[in-house]
Amino acid sequence: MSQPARATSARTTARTATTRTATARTATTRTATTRTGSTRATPRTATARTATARTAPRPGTGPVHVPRTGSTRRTGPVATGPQLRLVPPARTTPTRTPARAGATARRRAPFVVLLVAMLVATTVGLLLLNTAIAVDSLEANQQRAAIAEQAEEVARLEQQVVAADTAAQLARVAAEAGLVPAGAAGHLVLQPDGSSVLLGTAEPAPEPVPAPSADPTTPGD
Amino acid sequence: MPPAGPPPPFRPGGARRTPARATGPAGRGDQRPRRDPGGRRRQPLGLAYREQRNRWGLLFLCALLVVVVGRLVVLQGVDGAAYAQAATDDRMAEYPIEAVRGQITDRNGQVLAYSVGAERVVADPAVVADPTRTALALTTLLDVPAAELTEKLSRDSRYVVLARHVSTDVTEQVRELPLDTRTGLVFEDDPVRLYPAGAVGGQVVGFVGSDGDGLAGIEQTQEDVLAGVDGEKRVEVDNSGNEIPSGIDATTPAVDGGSVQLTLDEDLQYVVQQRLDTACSDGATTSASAVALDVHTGEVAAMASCPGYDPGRYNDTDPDLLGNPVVSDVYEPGSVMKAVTLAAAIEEGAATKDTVLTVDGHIQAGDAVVTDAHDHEPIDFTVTGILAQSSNVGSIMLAREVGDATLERYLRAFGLGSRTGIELPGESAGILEDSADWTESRAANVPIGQGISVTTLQMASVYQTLANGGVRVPPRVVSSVTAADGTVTDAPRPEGTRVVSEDTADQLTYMLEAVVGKGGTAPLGEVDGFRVVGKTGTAQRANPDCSCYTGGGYFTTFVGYAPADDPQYVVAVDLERPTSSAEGGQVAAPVFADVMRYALTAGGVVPSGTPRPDFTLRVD
Repeated sequence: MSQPARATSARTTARTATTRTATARTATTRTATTRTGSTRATPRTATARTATARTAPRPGTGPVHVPRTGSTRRTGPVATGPQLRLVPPARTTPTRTPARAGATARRRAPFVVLLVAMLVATTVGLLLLNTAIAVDSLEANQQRAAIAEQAEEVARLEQQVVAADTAAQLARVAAEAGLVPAGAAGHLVLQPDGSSVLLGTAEPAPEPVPAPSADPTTPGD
Repeated sequence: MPPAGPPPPFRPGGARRTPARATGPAGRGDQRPRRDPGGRRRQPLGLAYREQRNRWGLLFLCALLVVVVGRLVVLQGVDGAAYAQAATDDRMAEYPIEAVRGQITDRNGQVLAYSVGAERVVADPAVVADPTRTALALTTLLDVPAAELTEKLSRDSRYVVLARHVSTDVTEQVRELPLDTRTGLVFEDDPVRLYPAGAVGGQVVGFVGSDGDGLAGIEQTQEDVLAGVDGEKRVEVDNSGNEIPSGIDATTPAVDGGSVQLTLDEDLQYVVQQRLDTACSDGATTSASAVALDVHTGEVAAMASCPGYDPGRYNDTDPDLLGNPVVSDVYEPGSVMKAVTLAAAIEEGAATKDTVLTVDGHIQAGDAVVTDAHDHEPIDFTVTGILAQSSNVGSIMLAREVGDATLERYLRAFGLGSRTGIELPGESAGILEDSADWTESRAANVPIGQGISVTTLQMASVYQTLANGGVRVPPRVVSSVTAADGTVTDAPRPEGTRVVSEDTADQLTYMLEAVVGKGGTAPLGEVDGFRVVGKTGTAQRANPDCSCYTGGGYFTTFVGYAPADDPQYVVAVDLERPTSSAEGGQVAAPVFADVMRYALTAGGVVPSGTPRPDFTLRVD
């Protein structure tokens, strides 16, 4: 903050005066270039200022303000002091702050509510999701146990089937049911000329050994 | 660099002319603008000192920071993985998953061996509250004496096995016991191996030991296929050991074992086993073996011996019986070997089936004299007659025409003296000496099947060669292998090798048919309706007491195939009869006939109806 003040004091105070004063600037601009007379932004650029210096001696283009630019007056700083001091206090008026804060708070309220709502929603959602996962996992475990139980049941049944399907078991059950092994088979073979030949002697099956289970009404279990 | 203190208060230009606080050590006139505030503060000597101290402090702090950051990098970057792993491992629980051992089935898919899930009941005696009460609760369920359980549960140990192979419905009941009774009990997977067919095919199938490794038969040779690969369940668990849903799940599933399909036919196997058991119980037979081969493929349709064993009860069986004599026991085959001698003679052009030889009743062989079964006057036998009447002298005469080395070549070509390569453990190669080492008596003995040892399977393979038109296909018992994912791989089949020409094989078949039936040595080998081909054998059994043949009894054998005009099955039977002098045609042939009859009938083989030729056995 102190920097600009120092710079101005090191240089000519008169120039500072001209730049800060609206009237002086407008006059200079008009003197420099006729085409940019209406603009206020251009005079701040370096070209505009250089133009002022060059066109200064040109006659008939501007009023009597030219000599004033070149002069160095020591009364300048007196004029600048109050002007610089006036601006900052206006901006830092303490009376404006509470009103502004109130407005901001009013504007922020929905946002905060939104954030809180999102937080709550997230928490509740997470809780629900976790619960759902836990429930599903519990169910999956139960299903898995049920499957294992069914698989065991199937294995048990298959075991019975396999045990009952062996040659030895079949032979035993057949014998209990009164069946006897077939003896030698006779084959009736057709010859190419149409006649048939009986090969082997078909023997009738021997009488089954009389056993209680041979009774057809009570077949063996 | 801005001054550390608060900014100097603003003062109007006029006030500078009379400075109220002339702090500067050398005031240089009122008109001079103020000095740079920062410069003024460096002036005291204490400040310079502090500056240096601060620099050291800063350096120290930086060093600390570097150390901390460095350690962080080491922890996070270098050792990070290890620490993360340790942390993960801490949360992981591991449970083994046992691979289910594959099935063994016969050619029709009938199950010969399979595994069912069962559990091992284990206890941690240190946790068991009341050993006596727990033992009482378990004794009926596990079928173990209560005293034994109490003793185990009271041991000073952390691991005792209470019962193995407990079925799951029993362990389910154990799990439902009151908590204080079952505390300390743990259940482990312990699949049980079942052999529903029992002793039928037991010697081929084999069994597994208590640690689950195959120890005999197919269970042993196909261990790699059957065993599978155990897996491991590895999941993230919480404090109390419950699985965390959606947690880390690094489970390696178990790869179940593949199943092995054999070429055996369970029904035929059953019949063979029954028939052999009957033969073994006749009082004179101490052991008997039989094997049935498919003529065209060399596949083993049945293979049994008595006494057999039930693989499910191998623990209670005499360990000497836990083998497979069909492939591991050798015996001197006797006259069945004459088929090889004659095949060599015919193939070498030394004779045909109709060649006539004048055969004496005995023949000098070195220091020994070999006679026919009954010494006789010289007879003009045809070669067919020599085989049909099983003339030793005639066979030796033909063998001498062939020569020892050539005979040995044929013997080896028929697979004698070497393993068949069947997928069964403990196979014997038999004993066949080099012909260069044969003594004169040995050279006369080998052509008639003495002084040479073979397995039953080798003998069956010899006749398979003759039945298959002279092409030998080594016997195999594994049909295919089905992996756990259902991929079926057919077992590799060895290439058939031609041993004798088809014409020679046909002549042999013709001659061997003369053996069975009228005029031959084995009328009992006939199967009604079929033309059967075969050869009897009665070899002297070496007496183990004196290493001589005296009083050793006999090995009686019969090997043959049927039907003669289109052979389908080869059956070889041999009976060990140390106390009997009965010949093969009387005791082995009936067993052969019964087995062959069932094989042909059940196999759907129909006789062609061609008549049995008339044979000229001797020329008068």
